[in-house]
Amino acid sequence: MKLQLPLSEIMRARLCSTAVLTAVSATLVGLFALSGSIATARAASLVEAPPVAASPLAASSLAASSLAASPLAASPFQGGVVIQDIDDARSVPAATRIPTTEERVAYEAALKERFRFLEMAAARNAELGRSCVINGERVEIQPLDPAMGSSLAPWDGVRRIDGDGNPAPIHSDWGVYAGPWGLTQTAHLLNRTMIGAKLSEMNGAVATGMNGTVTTLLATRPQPALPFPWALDPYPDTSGWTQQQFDSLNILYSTRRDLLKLWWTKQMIEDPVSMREAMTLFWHDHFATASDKVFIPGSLYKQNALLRASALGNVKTLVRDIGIDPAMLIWLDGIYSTVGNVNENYGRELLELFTMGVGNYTQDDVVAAARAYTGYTTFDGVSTVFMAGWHDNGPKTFLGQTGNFFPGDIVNIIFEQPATARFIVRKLYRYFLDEYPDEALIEDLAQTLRDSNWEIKPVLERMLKSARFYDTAYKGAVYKDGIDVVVGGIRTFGHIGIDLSDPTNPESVYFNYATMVVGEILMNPPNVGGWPGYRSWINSYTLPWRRYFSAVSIFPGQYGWSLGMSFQPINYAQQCSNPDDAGTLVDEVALSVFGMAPTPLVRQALLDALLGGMSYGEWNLSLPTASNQIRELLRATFKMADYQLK
Amino acid sequence: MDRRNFLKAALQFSAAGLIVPSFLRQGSLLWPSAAGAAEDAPFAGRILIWINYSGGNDGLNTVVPYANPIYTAARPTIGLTAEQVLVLDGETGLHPSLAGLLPIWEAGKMRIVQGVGYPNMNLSHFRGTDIWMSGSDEPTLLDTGWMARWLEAIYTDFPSWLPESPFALMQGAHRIPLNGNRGITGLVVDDPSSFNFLVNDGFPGEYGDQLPATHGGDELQYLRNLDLATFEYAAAIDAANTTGTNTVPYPQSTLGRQLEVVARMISGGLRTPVFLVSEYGFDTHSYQGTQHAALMQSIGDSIGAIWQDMANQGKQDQICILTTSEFGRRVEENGSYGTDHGTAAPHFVISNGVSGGISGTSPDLANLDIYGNMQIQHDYRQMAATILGRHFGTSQTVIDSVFGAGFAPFDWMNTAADVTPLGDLASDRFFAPSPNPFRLGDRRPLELRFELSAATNVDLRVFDVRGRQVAEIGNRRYAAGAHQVQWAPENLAAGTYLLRLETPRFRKNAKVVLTP
Repeated sequence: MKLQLPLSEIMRARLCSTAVLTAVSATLVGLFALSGSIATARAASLVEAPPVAASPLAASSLAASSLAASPLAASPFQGGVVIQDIDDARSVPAATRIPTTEERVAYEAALKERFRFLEMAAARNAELGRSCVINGERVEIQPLDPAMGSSLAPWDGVRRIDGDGNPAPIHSDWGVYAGPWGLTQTAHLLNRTMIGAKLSEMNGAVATGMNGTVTTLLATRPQPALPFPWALDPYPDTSGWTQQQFDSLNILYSTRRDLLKLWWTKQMIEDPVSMREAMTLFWHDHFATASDKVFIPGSLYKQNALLRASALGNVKTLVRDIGIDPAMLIWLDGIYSTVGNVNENYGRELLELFTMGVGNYTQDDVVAAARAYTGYTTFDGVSTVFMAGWHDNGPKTFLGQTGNFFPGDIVNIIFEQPATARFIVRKLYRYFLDEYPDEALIEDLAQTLRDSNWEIKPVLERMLKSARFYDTAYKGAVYKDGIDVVVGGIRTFGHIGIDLSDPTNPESVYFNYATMVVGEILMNPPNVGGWPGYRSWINSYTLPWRRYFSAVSIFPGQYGWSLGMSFQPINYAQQCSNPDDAGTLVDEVALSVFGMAPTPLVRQALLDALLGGMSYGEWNLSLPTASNQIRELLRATFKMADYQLK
Repeated sequence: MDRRNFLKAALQFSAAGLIVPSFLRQGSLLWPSAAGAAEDAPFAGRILIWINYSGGNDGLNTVVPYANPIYTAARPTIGLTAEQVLVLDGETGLHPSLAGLLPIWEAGKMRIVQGVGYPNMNLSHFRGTDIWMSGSDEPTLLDTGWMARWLEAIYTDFPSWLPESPFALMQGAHRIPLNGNRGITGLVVDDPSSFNFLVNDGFPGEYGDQLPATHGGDELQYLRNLDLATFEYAAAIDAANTTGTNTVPYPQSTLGRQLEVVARMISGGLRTPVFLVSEYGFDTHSYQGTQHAALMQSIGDSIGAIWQDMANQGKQDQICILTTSEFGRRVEENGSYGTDHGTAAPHFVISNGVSGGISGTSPDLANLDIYGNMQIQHDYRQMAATILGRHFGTSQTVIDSVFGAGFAPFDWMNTAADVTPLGDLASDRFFAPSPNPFRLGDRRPLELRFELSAATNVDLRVFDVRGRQVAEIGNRRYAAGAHQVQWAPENLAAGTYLLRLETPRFRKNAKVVLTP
């Protein structure tokens, strides 16, 4: 009784009789036999997607066999509706019957065939381990593999303690900060909210003032243009492909993923004073989705663009959008989750990691949420398809409420829970302010989030202008993450000649290699929990490597690196208010890159490194040795433990 | 160009700027060459190699109840048949890719413990992993690792005194296992060959000055401590890695590469009692067939390799291998040819001290909880207690202090004759000097206390952090029992010093800070 003809056969048969169309999007609409008004309404916007133009990297065989050319009217994928909003599915007519076993077998086999590449790529990935190209050769490396992050956040019943073991006193609250405004404060503000702020920006923020600087940081800015013509390319139709074709797709995708990571790196380095890239990274850490399983560059870019567009937007909207994001559907197995064969992965992480946290729901709630999300899938990695026939229409009881819930209802109920705002605010607090939040202050700020109808800006604005934020007690209490050190370092020190257009360029290799060993590969977090953060950034393995790559960026030749980008010591020092005075230079450099002002002993060591044996009065920026002396100052700066904090 | 050559090239370029303190090169008080070093660890060379499967391993497809019709029915596509498994007995078989374990099983050195878990198992990866690492039960939130608490119970004067080899080495980074009540009880070292160069190149020197009493000051202190411990151990790790060898090829999987390094360090004489390694990718929600098989291949071949390697080097009796994972997986396969989060799962203890076999019964698949998950048969803490008690000879008092009462060792593991009981504290001890820091010129001299298990000669000397001897306190014979020696530092600058107590049987160091 099983379906005898494999899907690939069906697809191949149809390919032969169908003229190959060039515009992906136009045929995409036809592909899923769209029905109803939503499909029609969305069709126009889909056409705007870029065509699969022959990018220099695209193998011609791919374009020819792209998904575009495979209407599957009679296939198990029949009846799908492309949706753009989580609630679009509500107006799709419900299925009139439960699928038969034969239909299920055919559908699951077709899906398996459709994404055979992902399985092959995962196996290949496991076999290869992690490696990167250095000087034209692939080098096997052992990255730090951060294992599971701890679920036990210190706020679970633990607070910082003072020397006598008593809870540390609360110094300050969300009241508006009214103290002095100088480099001490601007360095703190910009180091916490940007990836690699510059001394000149910090000095500029002194003049702009607190209100003006926070406004600039939170300002909405135009989204970057599509970075590559192929950035939203659908995953091609691979039916009937040979192993060789899969292998070449694997290589192409691997290159494209590298290019996407490097493009994001470039966004971070070229961003003006703004919190947007830091918040994009925050959400990436929060809705952690890894290329190790998703593989499709179009999916990864689409999610990255969603996170950037929502970086300073509405949290509830973002939770709605992420649940039907193609990369997320692949990452947490939503694509395979159907009525009667529910996959709990997304349902669980939605509650545990994305919105509420452990202890606020039961296993039954996980199952109910997962059932509501059945029937949402993707076939091309860049558009979401609702398959009414595979959606569970039965009543579900979720967090005490019962109904035939769709994902939009699940999100609504989640955002009715008092725990949700607290969970999100707590995460912001730990990311930007201190590892040990005070629960009363968390609830206070959580109310701001609820009152703003889940807009994130009012919350950040209140935090970044608060007495708590500028409280001396919290300076240096947050660790620079791997991206802060590797990418932020390059932005801070103002390197010139950075060419990331080719993944084999030396500085591309620098970023790929460095982020790998310090344990923060963009678009590839260790698992769905994101990066564990706090002290886990630093251990006896990552600390020496962090220092090594900081030093390489300033002294590439000494470490056997030949980088196209270069550090300009004199330009860097000229950001200082008085670079000809050794003490002022040391103080401003230290203040701008350390989490807190150095102790006298550390300051003296930095001064000694700058002077290199000459007397204090001898120093000025015009000395022939000045460039090298500034480099030595930075080398000493990188060695200090203070440099790892922000 | 492999990584070692890459770093070698880097080293040549930077030779001019590289400062390696001389004592690290010569092998000095901190790091005597491995040969002939005084045995200061109380473990008689015993080693635990703890392998964690990150992501929740599918126990039913690891140790397979192939003859159980409920298993076959629950797993129509991913189930393994009698023809596929490596048959152990009439109802149980191993995953076909675990062939690397068969020689160990056949030699009777592998104990399979069925249904390992804890009451009310948590199905979160994160909470679940924390529980297994911390040794707590489900409702209790513990921020310290059971391994760290055990090490602290044995090394009563940690952290003022540090052993010559690091307590524990971990590859990969989890916050909890090394986290003790008094500090971090180990190091994360993924690649020892680059480690020493990198550590020396970046070490800032020691800054013992006062830090502000702020949250930032706390983190800075944490970093400074880590810096110093890393620096102090880098040379020992490098020496062991350089002199150690591997006698068999290892699979080039994540686990295989890690165990290759572990074996080399054991071979090179590092006397670290615990190595924690991980394999990743066990969260097999979809299409698990190929992926799980590859992981099983890695597990079987990697364990098989280190077992043989240690046998070839005459060190097999020293090691014990333990496997853990945050949970097992659901009995019934899901709609994606995978399995969702479950509960109990089988785990292995491999050692010459175990009597081989299976503990517990084949999983009772007719008696599942309301979510379709298995009941537990054995508590994971009892497995750990077995290793602490029998492999290391830890007293039940100490085991109780680590896990709470109620976790006695299983009787399928023997206590080896060469293991001296740990934790009853009849052994030699060198207590932290007091007061510490010590103010130079204080009327009250510094007090040094030590306990001897037998009469012996005791030589007490003082060294600076560069390894130079700066004072001699005394050298004479003492009776068994507790002793106290007073020392008034003279002609010494403020700074950090190491007090070394040496007897013909052991050598211990304690750190003291002299302030102006």
